[in-house]
Formats: sequence, C-alpha cells, structure tokens
Amino acid sequence: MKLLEKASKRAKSAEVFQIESQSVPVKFTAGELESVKSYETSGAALRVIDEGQLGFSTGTDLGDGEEIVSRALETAGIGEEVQFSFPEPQKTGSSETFDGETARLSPEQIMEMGQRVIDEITEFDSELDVNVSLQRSSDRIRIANSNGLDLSERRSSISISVDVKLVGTEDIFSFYDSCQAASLGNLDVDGLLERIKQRLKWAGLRTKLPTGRYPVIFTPRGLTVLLLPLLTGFNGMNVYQGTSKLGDKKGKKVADSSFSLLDGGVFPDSPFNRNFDDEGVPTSEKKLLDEGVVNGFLYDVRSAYLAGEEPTGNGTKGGIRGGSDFRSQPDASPITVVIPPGDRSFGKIISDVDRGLLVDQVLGLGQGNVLSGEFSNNVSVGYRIEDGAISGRIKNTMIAGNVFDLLERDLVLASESQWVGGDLKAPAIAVDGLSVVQKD
Amino acid sequence: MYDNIEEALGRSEGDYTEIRLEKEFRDTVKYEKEDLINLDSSVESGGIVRTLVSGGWGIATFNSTEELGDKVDQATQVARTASSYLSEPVELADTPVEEESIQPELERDFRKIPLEEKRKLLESYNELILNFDKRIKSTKALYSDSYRELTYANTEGTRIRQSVPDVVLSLVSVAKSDDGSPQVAHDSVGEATGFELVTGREDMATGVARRALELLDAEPVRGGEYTVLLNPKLAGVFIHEAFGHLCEADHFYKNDRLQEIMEIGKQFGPEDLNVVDKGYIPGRRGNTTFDDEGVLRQKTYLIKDGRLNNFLHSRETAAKMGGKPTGNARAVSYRHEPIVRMTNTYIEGGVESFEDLLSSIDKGIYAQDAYGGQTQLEQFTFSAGRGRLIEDGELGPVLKDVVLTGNIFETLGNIVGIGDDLEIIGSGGGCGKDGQFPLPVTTGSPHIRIKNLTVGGR
Repeated sequence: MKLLEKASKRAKSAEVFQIESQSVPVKFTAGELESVKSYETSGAALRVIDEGQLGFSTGTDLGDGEEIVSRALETAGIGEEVQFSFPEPQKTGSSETFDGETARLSPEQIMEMGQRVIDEITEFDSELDVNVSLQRSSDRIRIANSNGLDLSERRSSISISVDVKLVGTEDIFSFYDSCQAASLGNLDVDGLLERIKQRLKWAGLRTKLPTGRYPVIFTPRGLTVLLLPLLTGFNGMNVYQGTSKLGDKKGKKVADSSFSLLDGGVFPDSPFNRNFDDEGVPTSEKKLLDEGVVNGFLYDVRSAYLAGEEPTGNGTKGGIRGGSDFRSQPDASPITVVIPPGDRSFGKIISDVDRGLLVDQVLGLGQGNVLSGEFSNNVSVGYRIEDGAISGRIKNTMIAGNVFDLLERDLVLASESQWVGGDLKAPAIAVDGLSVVQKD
Repeated sequence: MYDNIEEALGRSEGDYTEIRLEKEFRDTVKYEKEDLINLDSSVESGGIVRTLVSGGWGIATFNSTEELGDKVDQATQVARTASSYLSEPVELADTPVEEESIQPELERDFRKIPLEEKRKLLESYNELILNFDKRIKSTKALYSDSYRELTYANTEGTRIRQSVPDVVLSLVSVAKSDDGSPQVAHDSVGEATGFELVTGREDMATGVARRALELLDAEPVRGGEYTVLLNPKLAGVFIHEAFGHLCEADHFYKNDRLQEIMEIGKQFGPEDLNVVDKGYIPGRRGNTTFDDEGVLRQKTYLIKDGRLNNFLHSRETAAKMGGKPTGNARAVSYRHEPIVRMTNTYIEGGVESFEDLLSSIDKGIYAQDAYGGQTQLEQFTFSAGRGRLIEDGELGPVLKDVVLTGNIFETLGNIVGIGDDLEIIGSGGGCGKDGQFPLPVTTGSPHIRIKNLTVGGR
C-alpha cells in the first residue's frame, strides 16, 4: 500500500485504515417516497508511532498522501509517549461478511421493499403515519501496518428502520423498530412487521399504572436501558481509569446466575459477521459474564496496553460494519453482544405477573450517570400487565433504578431470543421491584 | 472553484439542481486521566449534489470533486427513479437569488495557533481537575476546532461562499469515594469564534472538579411531581428539545392531524412566553447566515405572547404548507442533505428576579445544567447535571440523578414564572436528528419556573 510505504519511510511504525463505502439510502416520509440517495465515502486514517510518540490524522481526498503523512508526523512530534505497538499479523476467521446480491440491490428493489413495509403497516391501520428508511451498503475495508499486518474485507448490509406515529386528538403514540443484516436472505422483515403489529394491538387501550414498585419485564429492545450502563462497566478504558463499577470485580458474582453475557464478532445465526476489529485484531468470542460472574473486559490495543491486558478484538471506529467513523481513533467497544436465553416462555413470564410493567422503548437513554449504573427514563412504549395479561398502554411514566443493583436480584430470562438492530441477541428479562412514577 | 461548479450545473437535466462543496480543517486534542488520548490534525473534503426531476429528489454525495458533472448525472439518475414512484411531486417555495461571500473575523484565528499550544492549554485544565482532590479518579478533556469552507450554488443563480469557524472546550470530571459510585460533572463552551474563547477557563476546570465532589455526598432525588425551577442552561435545552423540535415543519408537513395540533395562533403557554429561533447572533455557534439551501437567516418567533406563531421551514416544507422559508434547512456536513433544524433558540427574558422565582416555592427542585435531552413529538425527557432541593423558598441539599419528563403542551401551560436573566449559552456537543449529528446549535433562556413537572427517581 502506497500510503503505508510513504508513512513507514518517515516514521518508525505506521498503520493505515482505509474504507471505501457505497450505499443507497431510500427514505419514505408519511408513507410516501421522499428521496433516493447515492452515497460514496472514501477515507483513510493514519496512525504513526515515531520516536515513541503517537500521531494521528485522517483525510478523504488524499492525493499523493503528502498532507496526511505530514500532519500525522506533526502530531506525533508532540504526541503521547506510548509503549504499545500496532498488532502483529494473526490468523483471523473466514466467516462470510459479504453478499453480492445485497450489495447490488437497485434503488427500485429497495423502494419496493419499503413500499411493502408501508403497505403492510397501513393495511393494519390506515390512520398510521409511517416513515421508513432503507439502506443498502457495501464497504471495502483495509487495515495494514508496518508489522506486516494486511487485512481486507468486503462487508455488505441491508437495513430497514421504521418510525410509526398514531396521532389522536389527546394523544400521540410513536415508536421505532428496525432490522438489518449482511445479506438480504437473513433480513428478518417478517419479524419486524410482526413486532410492529403486536405493539399496535397492545396499544389500543390507554391505561395507567399507579406510582409504586413493580415487577418489570424488559423486551429485548427495552433491554438497552440496562445494557448501556452495564457494557460501560466492561469498557477496558473505564476499567483502567478506575471509573468502571466492575473494574475490581473480576471473578466475582455481580448478577443472578441465570445471566450470562457474551461478546464476539462471529455468532452462528448472527445477521453480521466481522472477522477482525478496526485494528486488525481477530474478533474472538468471549464471556464477559459467566453465570453472573465477571469473566473479562473489552480492550482495544491502547487500553489493553495501559491496563496490562491483551487486546480482545474490540477496537472499533463505530458502526455495525466497523469503520463508520474512520475519523476517530479506535476505542474499546462491544462488537456483537449475546445474552443466552432462559427456560421460561415469554407468555408464561407475563402470565406470572399480577401487576407490573412491560418496557419496550424509552426516552433519554444514556443521559444519566451511566458509569454509576443509574437510569431514569420516560417509558415511550410500555404496557401495563394486570392479572397475567397485557391490559393496555401506559404513558407519562418514568422508571428509575440502578442496573448493578437490579442484576443482583432474581432475574427471569425468557426462552425466546431475538436480534435487536443486528448487534444484540437477547431474550426478554424480568426484574422485580423497580420504581415506577406515573403522572396523574 | 465556481468554474467547476458552473460547468456541472450547466450539465444538469433536472428541474432544479444544487451543489454544495465543503473543505474542513480540524484539530482535536483529548485527554483522559493523565493520557493524551487523541491528538488529531485533519483535512476533509467532499460534496453533495441534490437535484429535482419531475418532483422527485435525487442526491449524490462524494469525496472526490474532480468529476463533478458525473455526480450531477448520478443524482439525476436516482431522481428519475424516485420521481416514477411519487404520488405528489415536491415543490420548492420561492426564495431570492443570493450572491454573497462571507468570511468571519476572528480575534485569535485558531488555524494560526500551533497545535502544541492547544495541547498545552488543554493539559493545564486537565491537570487542574486531576490535582483538585484525590477523589477525582478520571477526566475527559476535549479541545476541538473546525474551520469549514462552504461553497453553494444552484441552478436558480444563487452563489454563496461562507466559512464557518467552530471552537469547543469540554471538560468532564469523574469523582469516586472508596465505597461509592462514580459521579460525573461536566461543562463546556462552544462558539463560532477564535481561540480566545478557550483561554482563561481555569474556573471552569475547578468548577467541574468541585461539582463532581459535591455529587458524591448528594442524595438521589425522590421521584414525583414538583414545582421545578430550571436554570438558564437547562431551560435552554428544555425549550430546544421539547418545543423547538416540534416546530420543525418536516415532522408534520405531510400529517394533517399533527397540523391540527400545531395550529398557528393556539395558546400554548402564558401570555409572557416568547420563544425565538434567531439565525444570527454575533459569535454564536448556531449561526446560519445562509442555510444549506441558500436562504438568508431570519428571526422567527415560534411562540409570541404565549401563542404558536410560526414554524421552522425548508423550501420544501414551506411550499407544502404555504409558508415562507425561514433559513433553517441545515446539513451537518457534505455527507447529508439539508433538513429542518434549529439555529440559536431561546426563551426571551421576562420580569421576575431569581429571588422572586425561588421564594414562592414551598417544596420544589432547582434543576441545573443539562446532560442532554430527548423528545418524541409531545413527550420529552431531559437530565439535569445536578439539582438542589427547595424548601420554603430556600435552596437546600444537593440532589443527583434529576431527570425531568412530561408532555410538552401541558408543560408549556404550566410555566408560572419567567426570569429577567436571559442567558444565551454556547456549549459543546450538538444537536442530533435523522442521523445528522452533531449540529452546532445555541440555546438560551432566563430562569423559568414550571409547576407539576414529573421527576423520575426511586
């Protein structure tokens, strides 16, 4: 690679991350086609270590590469002294990450998919206001460094996200759902439509839940309320900096033994595979929580070096296919998270509840003190459970608690799992005694 | 640069075509704890073509601007496909043809400040926080500047060049006692100014350290309904999140029922409530002298004397709703088409002093500063950085984890006091909508008092 050669001549070691991305986003507003887009990105990020100091620069229209190399070296001249080196070549997996048919989907085909989703939803209720965004993408990613690592991969994806509004005179009900996959064949459009219709059926009747403490069931999508603070605790940089609530808990039990948590780049039925992270480290499967016991944390190359650990294949530049923000330096974050299911059916869990709340979507995710595990959210999509059945949709309702406290209680995990947004597979999970505030 | 553009526009077969090119220079310095986590000096360039063919939009974005004509063809091709699917063709409201070139005057141009000086300055703030107290466990300190050179041209004859500076300093401290939970405090400044904005900010550094320590001993708030006094920072975020977004016409320009709810002239708040979106206030980061459709900025009253007065429009939403473009079609970068966004949004000052607002509250919460907020049409939620209990008109103990929520229409009606201390505040971060983040905006407000507001808590 020319850029790597050029940088290597002037710095002791260098790493180039390159992405070329092509996508076709199609947008429908209020059930009607709004726009079709052809989107091209071509960018590179250069990291250099020179005289033991780290430098970084990114660019798009690189020309002969002179500017980006000079800028990276300039930053290295005053940059952080680092002891780590860029990853050595390692054997990576060879799972399929690209589907040619998906990458070639025409705007017409994508529009037809969008129209089908709109038709099915509005057939259910013609008063609904439906916005749909679809996108097919194909990326070519290449990571090469002066240690001889040189990896490239093509990654395709197709995604549909749906925003539904039901506007009444006294009340607006609005929710969101999505599905995405690397190949059209794995795109679960039927599952998406089924979930949307289920919400609308349950939403028919408005009800309230008096302020108090109740058993609360989080749907797989609603589970992000708990997962966001929890995963922050597994971030290797937070562990190193002493701000993770789990940092000193390795080998200790922090959650109910029914709860395990896995991270990796390749899972058997995953809608997306990634064989290596954005630094070229293989994305190994690992247990973060093993039956409630903390087993390990997530590290990129730098945080691993700082914490005296090994990189875990979690150095990412964002996005489900990786590299979506090539402008940023890699950061330790989860790739694909899986929570193994329990043994009680979702229906049975609901029928076991005398009075409680089913939480599917909230507002204000991640806006509280995430490090401490505190959450306090407005439930935008939630249902009251009464005598073992859904009795209607609630509104103006807040839930609040601390994730780390909740997980230590008895948890009930449903036996059915579901992919959420392509990078999380989880069952519904019930917890007891969560604080609910209902506005009169 | 126009030569290239003129030629490409000349090739356009669309009914309307616009080209926007951008070159951005940016420097970033970031410390976490003792570590210089990022030092980045980068240049990025790219562009976008948007074209209307028989009332259907086609858009092409790209990094290489060499074959601009081909990009126009590409956009035209997708627009043709789109137009064949349309039930109702897009129309654009009229707007004057503009020809302008705008260069900001910066007191201390950050492009001329050596990166090393930026690094040293940030390091000094970072050390101030870290050394403030042994219970400060970690920090995040960020300096970033960006200088965007924008060139805009459309087939109606508008030609605009404008350069947009942006400079941000953001400081976060994390405190932890031996047995307790980590507590976080943050503060930031962001403006469309020069380097002078970020120098001399030692008080801001010690302030975030002190506030994180205060939170270590703070009580979590008890959930319930309260009279809440919002400080200008939080009230500004509130009006942006909860009401400003609702006034963006692209949310409802195709929805008759929402339009009934958002009826001009409807009483939404008390007589003394005025809410403004103003496209230009000297030095502010929300400034949009010309928006990304070439429409000149303006001052738009969203609420006047408590009544809904106007919406924020793009040319498309204005045409559809019979309104006028308001200069609010903004794109976060060349990678996106313009959508309806806010600029500098604020509640105008009233007459009550802070003491008057406070003294009449028997039991309530003083909610200060903002972590962030989110809205979903009428529902909103926003998190205060911290709070104080109010008892018998006096400020009491410090509270943590204060999250406010409600229904915007009800809440605007429950505003029962507007302070005389309007502050317009430029902070870091930015606004997100439809995948376009972070867009620089400014928010502002005086202290405001709201009754019967729901506060989440345990």
